[in-house]
Amino acid sequence: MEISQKQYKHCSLVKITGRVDSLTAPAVSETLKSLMEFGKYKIVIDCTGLEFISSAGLWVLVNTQKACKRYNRGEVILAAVADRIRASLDLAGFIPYFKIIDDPTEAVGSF
Amino acid sequence: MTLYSATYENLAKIDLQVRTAAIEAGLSDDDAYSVELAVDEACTNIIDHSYGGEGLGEIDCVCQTLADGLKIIIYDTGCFFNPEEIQPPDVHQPLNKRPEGGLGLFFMHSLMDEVVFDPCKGNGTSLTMIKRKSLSKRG
Repeated sequence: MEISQKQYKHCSLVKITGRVDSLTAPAVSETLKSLMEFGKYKIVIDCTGLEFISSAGLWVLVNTQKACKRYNRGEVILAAVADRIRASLDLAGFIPYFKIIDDPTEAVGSF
Repeated sequence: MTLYSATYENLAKIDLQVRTAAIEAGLSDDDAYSVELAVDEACTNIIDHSYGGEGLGEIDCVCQTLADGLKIIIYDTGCFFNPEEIQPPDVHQPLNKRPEGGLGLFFMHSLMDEVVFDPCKGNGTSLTMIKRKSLSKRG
């Protein structure tokens, strides 16, 4: 799993590639938490290269969304989510809590 | 049959084994992903709950091609897991009322066509999961 981030004027772009499972989910969580510690609550997660995500990873996304939306200070937008990962989000009942935009550039521009 | 130390690091290897077996059994890419996810959730549960942590036992994974799909049998020697003791999650409940976790068993039942837990002689659990080929893909 690789995770990178880039700061834009109005949001942060976090790109996750590879697998997010119980081994790698903590690293994803730490990256997102450190963004929030610096007051960055408007986050686009680019899932273009995300090959696999287990429920451990889905909960990291959900917990980050809960924190970002608190006090209306921001939100997490998911970009370029593969159909099979969208299906997992749907199965878990998480789709209503995320804006999902196909194009990461468009997602960044939406903030 | 392949034996793995029950660690999170080995989840990727176990997943690769079952994904490869799923493709070789003629399952679609989407069904192979479902198999991979169900097995990953099952093995995570074994590590977290049956053994109570990483590196405390082994996971044995057997894949068998069936005429109409794939059978996977996962063995562990940890505490026997009784699925009837687990309440399924309410996925329609508001997020702020949902406890974290508890999706593993639910995913397994939703993604696979059969999920059967049997106690092993002595201790541990034998978990059998079957995924049948989607009708549109059957030859």
